[in-house]
Amino acid sequence: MYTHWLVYLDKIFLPFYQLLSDPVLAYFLGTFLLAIICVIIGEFLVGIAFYANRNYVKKLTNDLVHWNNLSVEAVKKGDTEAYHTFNKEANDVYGKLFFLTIAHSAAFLVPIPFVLAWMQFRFGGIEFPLPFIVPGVGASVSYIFTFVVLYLPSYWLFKKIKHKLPLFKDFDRIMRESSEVVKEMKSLADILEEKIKASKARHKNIMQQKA
Amino acid sequence: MESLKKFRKFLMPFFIFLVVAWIYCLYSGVQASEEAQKMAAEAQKAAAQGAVAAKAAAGAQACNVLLNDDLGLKGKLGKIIAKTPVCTPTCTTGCIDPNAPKGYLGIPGGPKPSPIGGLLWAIWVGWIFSTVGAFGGIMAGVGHITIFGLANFAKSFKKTNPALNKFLTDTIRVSNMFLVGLSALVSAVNYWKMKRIVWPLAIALAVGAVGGAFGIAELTAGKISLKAYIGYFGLAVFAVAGFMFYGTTERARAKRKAAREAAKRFEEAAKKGDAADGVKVVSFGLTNCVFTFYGVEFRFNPLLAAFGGLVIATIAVFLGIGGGFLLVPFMTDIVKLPMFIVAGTSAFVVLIKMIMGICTYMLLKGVQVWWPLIGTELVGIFIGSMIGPRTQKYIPDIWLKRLFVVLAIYVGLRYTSKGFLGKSIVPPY
Repeated sequence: MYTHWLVYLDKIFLPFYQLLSDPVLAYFLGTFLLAIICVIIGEFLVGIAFYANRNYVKKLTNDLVHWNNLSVEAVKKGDTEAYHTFNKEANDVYGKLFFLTIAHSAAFLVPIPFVLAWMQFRFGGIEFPLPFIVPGVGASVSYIFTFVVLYLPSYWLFKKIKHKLPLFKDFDRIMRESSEVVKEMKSLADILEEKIKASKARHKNIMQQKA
Repeated sequence: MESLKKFRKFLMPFFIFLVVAWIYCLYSGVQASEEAQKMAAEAQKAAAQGAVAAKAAAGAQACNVLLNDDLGLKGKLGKIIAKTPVCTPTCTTGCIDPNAPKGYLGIPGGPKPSPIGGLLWAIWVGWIFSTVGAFGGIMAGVGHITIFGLANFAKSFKKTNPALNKFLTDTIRVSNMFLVGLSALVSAVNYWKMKRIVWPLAIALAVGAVGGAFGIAELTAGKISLKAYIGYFGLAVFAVAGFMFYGTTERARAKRKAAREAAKRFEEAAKKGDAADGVKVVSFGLTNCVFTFYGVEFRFNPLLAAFGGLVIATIAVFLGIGGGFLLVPFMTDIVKLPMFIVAGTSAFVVLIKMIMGICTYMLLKGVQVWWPLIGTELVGIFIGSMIGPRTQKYIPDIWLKRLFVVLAIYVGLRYTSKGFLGKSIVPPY
């Protein structure tokens, strides 16, 4: 059954590789276009996942900030027991949020294995020589390497224009809104900064008085 | 740090320049020296001579007619397949029928996991990720080992082609890592920005993680039989069951209740009283640094952090699971770090060790994955991650954990007994 859908994918993907006459340039252009399609579909799917779970993510993030800020306040008060208690709760909530984020990230990667499966079918036997030998890798690389090195720039380029595209800028806005509450998160370093500022202000006063 | 931030702006344009330069080299025909290519050809010749000797040695066994053909399979897999016996009327297990339909990894006669079955199992994994969390990676591993029949297929070659048995075991390990590892990469880059990462700690953990991930992949790729792998996987599942069971005990639940009450009292008293002093170092040593920060005691052990990162990365890359169930408790309960440090550091460390593990297995050791299966599973995890938050309000957390404890004990018993005793002590036998 997998071979059948590989044949269907062949009809869809092959035209991207027939845009130029030179085989090397045609291969890399085709792979770059496939990489861009993977980025677009991946961003769309992760936007859908995030949109569907936005309330749950917001709830977990609120809980996380709440427990974390309590732990920082406990430190300010010098209450060790309270700090460890609140910190543990914050870590537990973080654990849930971490794995939920991993599940969302799976959506971003969905198109890639299918593209790589087709590339293995078409270009699996081709070795791409490197201009020099890399220890441990050798003198050539496979289709996976070529896909990865073209995927990274296509992702970077897409990020630059994402905020201008109609649906994606809405997804972006939703993601930013759900993580807005993270700005309210306190950290232990903030307490130290307050102390340093207070100390500098005191020192300045003393110098002014001496002057 | 400022100069690093400025450099970051030019990183991607520089990378694009390198890629374009490489494409130009390919276009104009520049490649590695002829001498290096001659060496590669000689190595291939030596491998072929070794294969002839292996065939002669195998002549005394029942399955003694080898394929001597890679059946169109590329890389290391093709070379190993060529040394597998052909199926005949007298040789029916641990062999390959070249005329059978292609299955896993394109191997004729290999298991063909049903796309629907794969999708449903991955939905289950995604559901676990989005509800309980840590157990999802283990369930992904169970899918690869048992549900999709990959373990039974690998096991069949134990006597006739041990190299194929171990190669297939490695593909299971890498497939496990792909699901969690790649997803951790994306989440670390895109979706989680914490206020602070303590870089000395992150680097200490990452150094250990890199060493552990690279070392264990380098040392064990191609050497672990399926039986041993299943046994160790079962032990890891028992560890997860232990952590989750603790979360369901009265003591843990009482602590949670106490935390909520303490939070209420604390919030009411939040504005009263003066702040305590800032940082005071109590003691400092290579293995133990104790300081108080506003009266709260913190301990930091750089050697423990690096060693912990190494051990966790070793276990995670050996078994092919994310290690999240080990890493987070390690940082919160053993090192007792503040949450905002755990958050940034754990994503970073999981990312580093998975990248190292996957690269070592795939690039250096030639292990392959079956992309259609990975793709189907990612779709399932995506769907499951949207179902989980919706069912979460109907199923209390405590009952979910209890269910997974029972499941983890069952899986742990089954895999540990199959791995170390040779047969399962729980049904199906």
